[in-house]
Amino acid sequence: MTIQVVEAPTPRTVVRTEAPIDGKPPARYPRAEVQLAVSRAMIVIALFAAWILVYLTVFSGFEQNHEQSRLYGRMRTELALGVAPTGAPIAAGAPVAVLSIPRLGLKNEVVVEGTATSQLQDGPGHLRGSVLPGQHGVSELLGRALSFGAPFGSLDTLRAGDPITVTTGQGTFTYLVSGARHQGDPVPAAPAANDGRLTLVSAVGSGFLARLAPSETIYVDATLTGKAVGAGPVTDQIATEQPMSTHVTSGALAFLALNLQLLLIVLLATAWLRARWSSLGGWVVGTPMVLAALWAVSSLASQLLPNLV
Amino acid sequence: MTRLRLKTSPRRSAVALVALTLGLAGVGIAAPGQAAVEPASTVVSRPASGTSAVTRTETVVRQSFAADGSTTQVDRRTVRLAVSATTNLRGRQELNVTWTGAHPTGGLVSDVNSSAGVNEEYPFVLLECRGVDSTGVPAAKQLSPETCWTQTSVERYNSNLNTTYPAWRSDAFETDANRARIVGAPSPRPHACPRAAAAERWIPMIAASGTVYEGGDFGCAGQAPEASNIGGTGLPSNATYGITGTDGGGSAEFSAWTEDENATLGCSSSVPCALVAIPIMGISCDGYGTRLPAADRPDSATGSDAQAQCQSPDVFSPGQIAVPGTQPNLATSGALWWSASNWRNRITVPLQFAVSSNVCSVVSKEKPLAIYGSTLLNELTAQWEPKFCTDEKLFPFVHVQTAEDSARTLLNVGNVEGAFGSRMPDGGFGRPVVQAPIAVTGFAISYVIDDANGRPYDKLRLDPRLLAKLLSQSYPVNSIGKGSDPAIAANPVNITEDPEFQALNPGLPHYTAVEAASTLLTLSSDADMVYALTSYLNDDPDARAFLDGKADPWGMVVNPAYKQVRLPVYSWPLQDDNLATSAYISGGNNPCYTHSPGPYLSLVANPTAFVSTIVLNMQYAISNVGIACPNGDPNDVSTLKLSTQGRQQPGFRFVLGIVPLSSIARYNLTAASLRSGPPPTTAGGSAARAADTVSAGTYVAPDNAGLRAAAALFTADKAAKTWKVDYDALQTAAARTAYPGTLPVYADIPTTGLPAADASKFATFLTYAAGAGQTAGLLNGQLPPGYLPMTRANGLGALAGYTARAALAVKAQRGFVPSLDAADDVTTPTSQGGTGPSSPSAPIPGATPGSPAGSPALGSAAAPSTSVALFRTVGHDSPLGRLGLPLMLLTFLLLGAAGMLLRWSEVIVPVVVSAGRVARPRTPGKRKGSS
Repeated sequence: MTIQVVEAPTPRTVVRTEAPIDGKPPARYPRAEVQLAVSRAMIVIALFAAWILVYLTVFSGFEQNHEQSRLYGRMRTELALGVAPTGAPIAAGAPVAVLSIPRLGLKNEVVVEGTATSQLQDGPGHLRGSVLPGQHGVSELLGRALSFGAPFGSLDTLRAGDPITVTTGQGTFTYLVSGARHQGDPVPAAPAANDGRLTLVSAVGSGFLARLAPSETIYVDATLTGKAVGAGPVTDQIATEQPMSTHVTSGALAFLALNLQLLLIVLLATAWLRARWSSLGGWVVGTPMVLAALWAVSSLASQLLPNLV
Repeated sequence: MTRLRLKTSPRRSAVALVALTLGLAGVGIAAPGQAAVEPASTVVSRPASGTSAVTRTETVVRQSFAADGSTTQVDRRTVRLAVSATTNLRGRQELNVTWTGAHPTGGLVSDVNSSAGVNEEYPFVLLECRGVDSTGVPAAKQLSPETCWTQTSVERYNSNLNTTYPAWRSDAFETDANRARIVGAPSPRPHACPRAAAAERWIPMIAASGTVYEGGDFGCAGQAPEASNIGGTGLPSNATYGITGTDGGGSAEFSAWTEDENATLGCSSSVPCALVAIPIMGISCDGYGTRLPAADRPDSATGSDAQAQCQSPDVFSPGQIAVPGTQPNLATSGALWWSASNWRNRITVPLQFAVSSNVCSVVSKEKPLAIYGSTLLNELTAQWEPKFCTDEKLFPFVHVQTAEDSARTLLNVGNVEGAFGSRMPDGGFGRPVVQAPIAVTGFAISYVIDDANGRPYDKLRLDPRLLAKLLSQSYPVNSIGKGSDPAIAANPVNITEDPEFQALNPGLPHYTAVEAASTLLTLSSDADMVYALTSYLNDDPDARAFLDGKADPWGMVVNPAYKQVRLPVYSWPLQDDNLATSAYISGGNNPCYTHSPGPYLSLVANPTAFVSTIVLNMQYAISNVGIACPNGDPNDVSTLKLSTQGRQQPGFRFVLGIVPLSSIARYNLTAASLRSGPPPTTAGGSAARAADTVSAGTYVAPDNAGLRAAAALFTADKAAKTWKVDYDALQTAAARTAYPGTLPVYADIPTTGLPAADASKFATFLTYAAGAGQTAGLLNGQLPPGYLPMTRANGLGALAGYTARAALAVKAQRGFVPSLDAADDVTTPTSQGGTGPSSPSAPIPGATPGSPAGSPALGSAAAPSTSVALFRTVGHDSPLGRLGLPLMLLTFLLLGAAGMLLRWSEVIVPVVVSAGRVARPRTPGKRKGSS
């Protein structure tokens, strides 16, 4: 880069000052450079938004698939051994039932105990405080509407009469959908003796982009065909496991902070490699590392979302 | 409420809407083709009458104490008492009390509720008393003669001028202090009271508030506000001097009072009261005072006089009618019901009153929601109001009883938010108003008629023509009426003389002197039940022909003033304005009428403004005929006021009136069976043939079966979105078991313009009415007798289902009025009236998939289950869920596009620009990465 020097006019009175006069024009980045930097920033942010979209709608589903296959194996074993839980206490995250809803394309989805954000990342959750499916009373299952495979993503397409099959340690039960309700709608009367009800809870959106914006709860009630089994012990309800609640433990936050640091280190390392080694080499080595760190961060950060989203 | 956005193809959306709207209603449980799913609703059948009935048995004795102190048993009986209901009682509820084994009564009086009953010998006294009959409670809460209600002073004050030892002083079981000469007199003695008699006994009345009314001679020392010395025209007393027959048995209707009827007595759900039955056996005489301390004993001569006085023989033989002026044997008379000898024989039956709507003004702070209109719902709201104001999930509401039609008018112009009524106004409402069925009830023709034996008749049958004759004032009443209306002078003077009435009700005596037998007490104010009654008459060919001037088979003609009267009407018009003949006016037999003559037959009809008056008159057989002139003094204008005849003499009673059906059960009234089904073919011929023809018709009683059959004939008016009573269908063979007085009652509630809070309350009200409110029973919140539960079992599932859907439309307040058949709302989206968007966002809940469209017949339409709890779904909302991902998408799109534009502007801009040109110059973009 060259610096142009302005020629001084020949005869003139020179006024001395203490500092030498800076004759250079004010330093500024060329327009092209600024444009480039801004555009890069914008593209990076856009890519990050795209990542979040893709992660929540697609990649998080892989996570749930993975968890589901692990849980399914465990549930199979427990059912075979006859040790599947029939009442409280059940450890949070333990499989409690296998759910099939043909209309939603759900086949052998494992229901886990608890409905905190982290448990609903593994699959539909059984709301603590309600009875288990198949038992006398109202059993509530919560499931995500958008992320992590969106098992309950289209509850609003269920029609009255659609079958729902649930297998627990007490047998296989078939429910028939009776209807959906929203805020303010009357709740059906409590089931009579020997009757059971299954209530599926998820979120739906409204307006433009309804699918991407599940914001309000929807309840789908289904009535048990046949006789309900006796209700097992039930724990108290937990506030942080209610529909649409967000609950992040400080441990998860600390872990998120660590992972963010990891992401930062990986990014810096990639940049360093590109600068010091080779552009191509940097890309080849850095991309998987960045993606892995990003995935870990996303998985933890998604716990900040409400549990039904 | 959230709408559902369906991601289905338009072709399938209708089906999906059906399914989802079913869910929205939150009530649909079962549908055709899902036989496996049973509705969760349980129809609780009406509790059998007498579930709270009580039977008690008590052994009662009368003893005698001789001068040496030895006792002999004079009489001993085992009395068995049965009371028809003792729990969940409501004000003025009539309890049927029967007893056996009591001493037969002598000196019978005609009105057992009057103070004249104290002169009966061995009456079976029934009193309502405040307190608990147990020594285990504080004295202030115990039941005693001082807390028992009597209407008049003579029932609580006894004096004797002649002897210092009247029978009550010889009472062996009385305490020493109470056997003194003067007991219970206030000190100092009030000036208003006469000088002390030789012997006196005062029984003060202690009010619920603690005030003591001393009573005394004609109440000289103060009486309770409700008391009166002469039987007033208000509520007749409930103190009963029951008559025991010679077989030892007897019965009485006892009217249980709450604090609403009698604040002095003050019975309520929180103040315990009891029915006290005192089988009067007479004083156990101890005239010699053997049980008194020696110092207090009378000397032997006085003692033997006192004993003789106490043991005097009875004046009347059992079953003998009282003779005016004859004093009974005091020792066995009803006047001494309070004496220890009688009081110890009492049988106490605690009465438990239901929580009344009075509680609402105490428990609720918020302003009650006012719903105006139908008096047909009086008993229903009396049971619902306390439930609504005491349940924290509900809200207080108040039923303002007004004429239905004016309530609808007020609703139409927006002055009231909700109205109860039984029909759609002519021409409909001018704004979106949903007419949601609340109850199926009706009107009844109530009566008190004594048969030839003086016993109440309970098999009255009436046909529309008889009702038309009564209403049209076509019976001339008496010679005065014949004089005022010569055109009908040839008619039977009243209904008991009418061969048509005699054919239907054989064996009833001819009450030629009872003016009330020529009229039907109806309302002077507007009412939908009068509209229903007149519709029933109008659509009956015989009744209409009679009103149009055709004589009945026996030659009776209509009063010309009512010839071709236009029906139906909301209130029966008084059209006969003929005065009595001038001879009668000037004759002076009736100074009040002479003073202010009026249309004679209209004074006889004398319709009243309040349904409650008719009910009261029917409960106590009070004649409302307004031609009486009690104590009329031609010289004192202030006494010359025509008044009603008042209570009729038992044994000779005849009153008829139109009342809400629900009053029948509440006040233990009797209701007539009305003719339904095809009119019997008039044979023409002889009068005897005509009588056979009339009695050949089918007559239906207003019971649940009659209501159910009539409700099955309701026609669904799809355009008006309401159900109507089809009076033409009542003429068909299908109506042979249908009670023609059946009426639905609707809640009319606007579906636009209500404040959200009120709309939500009305929606809750309708939800309650569609579900929990249809459980028959006497508890608060349940459906009282007289209303047919709107359940599927009764074929009224469609009505309840409509109310449930109406609740959602009311809550939404989008001006949407659901169709009667939910399927119609799906196939033909309606955006009636309001400003709201059409079908997809309008609430169209509760449809039943696969239900056959276009068959809204009540019995067949598969309605959603009516079992709806009062809980509402608690929704959760997440702003992050709503905005998060759309913002991400927006970020991606905007920043991505902007970034790329900036980054590769020199590539993109020329391409875009060149693409815009028509002539495309060959300017390949410079491949230059000048970074």
